[in-house]
Amino acid sequence: MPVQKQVRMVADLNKCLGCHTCTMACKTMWTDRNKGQMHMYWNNVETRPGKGYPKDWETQGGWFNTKDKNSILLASINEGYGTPWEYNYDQVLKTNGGDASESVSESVLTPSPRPSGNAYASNWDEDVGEGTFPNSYYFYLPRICNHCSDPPCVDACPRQAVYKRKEDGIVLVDQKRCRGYRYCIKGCPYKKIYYNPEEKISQKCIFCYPRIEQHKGNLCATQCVGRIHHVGFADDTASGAYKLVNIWKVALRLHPEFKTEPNVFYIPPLSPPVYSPQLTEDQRIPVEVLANLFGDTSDQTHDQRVERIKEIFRIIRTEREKVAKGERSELIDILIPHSEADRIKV
Amino acid sequence: MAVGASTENLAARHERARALLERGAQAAKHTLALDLLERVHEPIGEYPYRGWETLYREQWKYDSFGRTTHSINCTGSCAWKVYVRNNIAFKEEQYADYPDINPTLPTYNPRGCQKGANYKEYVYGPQRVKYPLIRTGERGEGKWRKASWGEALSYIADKIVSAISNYGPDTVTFYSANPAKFLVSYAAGARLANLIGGVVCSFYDWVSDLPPGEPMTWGVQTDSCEAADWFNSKYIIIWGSNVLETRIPDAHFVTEARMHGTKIIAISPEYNPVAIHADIFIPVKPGTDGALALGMAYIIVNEKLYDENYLKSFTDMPMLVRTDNGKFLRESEVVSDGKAGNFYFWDKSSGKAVLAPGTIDCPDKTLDTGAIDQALFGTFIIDTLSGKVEVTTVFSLLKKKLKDYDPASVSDITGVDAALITRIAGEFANTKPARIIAGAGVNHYYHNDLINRSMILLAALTGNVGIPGGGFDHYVGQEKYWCEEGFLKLAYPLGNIKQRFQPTTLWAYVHSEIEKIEGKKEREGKGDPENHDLWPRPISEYIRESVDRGWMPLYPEGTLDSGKTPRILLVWGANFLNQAKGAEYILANLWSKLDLIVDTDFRMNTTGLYADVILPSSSMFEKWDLSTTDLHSYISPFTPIISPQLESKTDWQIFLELARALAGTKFSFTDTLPDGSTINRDFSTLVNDFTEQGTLSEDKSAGQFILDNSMETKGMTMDMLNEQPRRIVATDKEWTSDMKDKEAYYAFQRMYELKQPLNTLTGRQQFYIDHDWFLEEFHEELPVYKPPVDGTKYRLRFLTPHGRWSIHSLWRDAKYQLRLQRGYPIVYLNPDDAAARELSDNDPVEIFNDNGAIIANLCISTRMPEGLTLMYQGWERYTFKKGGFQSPTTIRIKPTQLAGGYGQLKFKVNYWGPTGNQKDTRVEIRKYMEVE
Amino acid sequence: MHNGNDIFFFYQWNAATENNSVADYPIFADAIAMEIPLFTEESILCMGAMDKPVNIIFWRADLPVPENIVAGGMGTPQISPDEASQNIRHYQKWKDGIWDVIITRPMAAGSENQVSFVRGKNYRIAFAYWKGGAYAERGGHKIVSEWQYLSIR
Repeated sequence: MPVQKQVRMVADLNKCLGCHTCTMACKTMWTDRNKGQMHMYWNNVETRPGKGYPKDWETQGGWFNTKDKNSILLASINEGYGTPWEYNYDQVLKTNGGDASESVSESVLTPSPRPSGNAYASNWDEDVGEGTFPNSYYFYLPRICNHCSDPPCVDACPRQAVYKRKEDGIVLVDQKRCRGYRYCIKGCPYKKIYYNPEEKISQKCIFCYPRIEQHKGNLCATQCVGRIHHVGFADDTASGAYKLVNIWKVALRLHPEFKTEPNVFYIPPLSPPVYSPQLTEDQRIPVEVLANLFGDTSDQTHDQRVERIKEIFRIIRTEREKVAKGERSELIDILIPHSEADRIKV
Repeated sequence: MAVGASTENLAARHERARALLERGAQAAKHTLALDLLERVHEPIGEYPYRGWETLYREQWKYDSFGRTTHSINCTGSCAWKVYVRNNIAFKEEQYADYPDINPTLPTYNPRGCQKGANYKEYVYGPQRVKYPLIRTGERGEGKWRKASWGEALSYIADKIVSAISNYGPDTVTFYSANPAKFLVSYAAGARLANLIGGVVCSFYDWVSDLPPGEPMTWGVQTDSCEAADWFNSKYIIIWGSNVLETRIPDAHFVTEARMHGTKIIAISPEYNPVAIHADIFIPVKPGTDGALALGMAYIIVNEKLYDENYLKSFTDMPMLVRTDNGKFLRESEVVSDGKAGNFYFWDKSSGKAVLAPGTIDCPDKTLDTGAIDQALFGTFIIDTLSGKVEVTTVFSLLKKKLKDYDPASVSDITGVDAALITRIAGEFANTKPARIIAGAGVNHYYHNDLINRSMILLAALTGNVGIPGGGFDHYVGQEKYWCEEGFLKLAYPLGNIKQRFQPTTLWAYVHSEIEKIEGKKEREGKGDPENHDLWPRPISEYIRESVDRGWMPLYPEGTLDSGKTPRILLVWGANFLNQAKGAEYILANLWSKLDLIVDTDFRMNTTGLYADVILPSSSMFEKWDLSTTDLHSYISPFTPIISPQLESKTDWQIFLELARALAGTKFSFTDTLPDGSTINRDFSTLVNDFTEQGTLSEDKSAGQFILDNSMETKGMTMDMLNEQPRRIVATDKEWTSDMKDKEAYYAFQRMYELKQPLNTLTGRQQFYIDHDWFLEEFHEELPVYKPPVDGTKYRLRFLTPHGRWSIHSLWRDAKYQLRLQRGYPIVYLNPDDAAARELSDNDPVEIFNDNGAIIANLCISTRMPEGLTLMYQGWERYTFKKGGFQSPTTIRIKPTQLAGGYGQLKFKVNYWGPTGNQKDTRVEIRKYMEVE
Repeated sequence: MHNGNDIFFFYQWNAATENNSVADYPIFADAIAMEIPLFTEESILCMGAMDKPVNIIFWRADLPVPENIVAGGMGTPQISPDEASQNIRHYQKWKDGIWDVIITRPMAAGSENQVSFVRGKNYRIAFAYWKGGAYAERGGHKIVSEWQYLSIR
């Protein structure tokens, strides 16, 4: 049966700072409890273009697009997610006093294991980008579980230990019933379910349900210092999230062709024009690059996505110009929320 | 003090507490599995097994929470809410309760970044200093023994007394950075220095965060708007500033202003994170920003886009300058009882030179020129006491000077297309209010003063200084301690005038014997087109002249004659050694002169590792203190959310205990101060003096003392601030604007709106400096462009900007932060530069020049232009196999920054003094072969 | 085999590699299980049913102890939550392509979540095994036997 309510989040990439405060807000609340969680970032921020987190997640596949489910890759922690490095603090810093006879040969703070070879980390590609200077380009993409309306992780679990809550549509992995089969990880084309090798079960973003139940926002959104998020229920026509998706239609889904109907949306990023004396309106991030990522629905063609993104940029430009001339714009009012209550409504 | 905790690993305790949280949550209510069996018919919406969900609800439970902020010199001064369970601080969240300024401005909430969200790692982590430590091996060798507080403090006290009695009190040196980040903690050390006669070092000039162009032009240390005023701008040039990374809590005012229709221009040598949200990105060759600004000024002046009335009212542009000697025409030259600090305009209506109001010797403290019709241009003949002299206006001279900066020439220098220069200049001049946000990217150059002055010129030409949304606003360092009167009273109870203050750049330069090295390089540099006229005379002559004429102090007194050296260095709340420019010289030459180095910190850092005694201070969760910043107008408290861990004490208590140890020596001596007065210093009364007869024994009462004695915080109490941050209620004379209800603070409102003169010689925004050195030796009487001074021996410019992952060295060694990077120090390089050196991504590389070398790993990025390499600063020395991030740098003093005896150019600590710039550095990079 | 107090199950099978870890995303361990109806012999082979549950003893090469599981149909198996049924011990050794595993338990049930092994009684029993490693077998992806009969003498 369909859920009664569905949480939704819109992330305005024109305001994302790439600061990872969302990542840290999430990490320090939910995934710093034991060793097996250290590699997982239920919320991560990745530089685009880039390999993302886990590495090359977009090409790994999911339940939506494959008949041979076994062919879907499960990346290793070290090469896919990044080994959570430990450091030799005690040897280097000797804050416990240190014995005079102790060897001091190890005096460099060193990550262990040392990132070499195929080593990776969740933010390895930070600010690397593409293009040729001065027309380099990159932008930041924060990602959490999309709490999809048609979640393939739910279908993937033979134990049916993954489910979607009826009161808010949050998708959860039952931490008591999960047996660590990792079919859900294969099933999720966004690779937003993680495996805890210590607890031997899978874990994922919980959309901070203990807070949502208290009508408080999820931490990645409330702690976002760039104030990029709009959170609300899909049917709450008064929420900024609803207006951006349904009325102004400036927010798109990430890879809607994955057919999972994500409930996280993105306002695609503007970018400075290609460098030239004339400074045309050609944005330096090729619109095709954005269209490869963002769209409305699974059945849209690439060309349709390109047109939609151009249309969104036109809308934003028009509304910006209106405001610059002293007129009011509902869209801009939404994009510049005064306080938390204006952007988070749960 | 946590009894019995000394043997317990804090981190393990934290972990155990977490495990308990979970076990409680997971405790099964049912024992019979059969009761639990239920088939899942519909996992979407109808899941039967939801009892487990208590797991995460339990995880989110807490016993209490408290308020604090961070004393880290990031300019954030952010209010954080720290959640506590079982006396463990387990989760940090922005408090997000800053009151609104007005409903049309975005709020400051939530304020705080990914670093503030993980301060707890330091509270409980292995980096935390837990006990007083005394060195047992060689400096830097890492051999320590635990000591009791009593032993450590009397060890230090004895050394201090011995240094004072053998060498004098000015060999005892105190260094910390930025009172604004922790007013009480800073005052603690400064107060003891003030009472015993020690030297307090500057920091703002030393770390090159001081924009020398501001004291030169405006007679202020720095005054910038708070971040909310960015939203009031219609045009923002973000110039050598990377607010997306370095002002994370404030960056939304830029992105939101952009959505609001403000045009955002990013000027920087590389495509940095702030550029991605700009409307135009202008790649400028590094260090040529001054030329670009002057190229824009050329357009504005020649196309008459300037605000003529503004220039006449608020700048020195209409002031008269003698064409024979380049000096301002002074009243003392015109009439026999005239004053040297009075200057003239040419009044077109009367055809005469008339005195300007508001100048330094003018009793009329207003800029209101009444009926004077000032000439902006022209040449005039004046009758003076010594005959007829020809005079012209500053603006005429400026226009002439700007001839060198036509768009084509500037394009050659900067690499920026000429048409673009013209376009940006036009847009900047025609869109009001317009603002330049400037940062370390343009301030850490040797010629930072010229760059500052050129940029300020743009803001002044267009009439933007002093209006909401407009101006030149510089953000580097947390220099603004709003409640300054109370702070100064607490920090310097005997008064500022009785305090020995040291411009640190000069001190570090002389005592690290940089002269020997730089002097040699300067001689070798002859013939190098970039270097040949760096110093008309040897730097030692300028230093000698400056010290002898009393322009700059240099401690200990007699250093230049007798070779006296400092003996003791006490560092607290700062990582002096790691951040020092010319690190290799400091370590080799200055360090060896010191009999005692004490580091007081909550965590081990590079300075601590190379110190003799380490004292453990409280974390930011364990004390009362106060913090302010220039980025917002609120005052944020620290409060003790958890009890001090292990043997740590607050800075206030540490210096109080040190005062007690010194009192125990019963030492006394008569001290002759720099102003010639003498004072008898009797250590036996030190405790009473430190605590003001016991009234300031507690950190909280010291904080309250600051609040009570500052007009900015009148009527506030520490407890009120703990309830909610309060906005400053008024501003004293140190600041250039009134604090207005419902308005974001912006600078120079008193000049513009109230016509109050500035603290400059001319009382105006002064672009013409007729100091002899500027006129005759350096030809910098007006802003000019001078290229970076780093020679051409090495090909790659080496930049060490502030980054998003650390605040200086803090969080550079934090595990949770490192895991979101590449785990160790990296250096960025353009793909072509990497290919030319046969380097691949993540290769270990050596970055080197004549000053030193570092080993790091390579990150190849298209954000970099060719010829530039970049390493985010702050990496601790112990994160490198070799060197430190400052190893390739040196200390270069720009002589004009030693000048004094001239209006606004007079030494005041952290206001005027030579900057420790470091961006004029070039290196080469090669593959580093690991030797196993 | 039993000694009157404890019952011992001996398993031996060929396994080219020793897969004894689940310590990373792509790593799966070898496992075996035996299933016995909890109340009634008519339990359905595949995990029993709500009214006819089964008791499963599950060994996986990475686990510190084998698990006592109760299931009432597909997707319902769960580890019995009571302490008393945590009474299974084991011995395991992989050498030269052969797994030797011994699983032992007191014959008397520790709780209602276990079958009691009583002398003279017959039991239906089924076996399953999962190849870990590159085969990545887990969950329903396994080899299962038909019902067999176990008679305790």
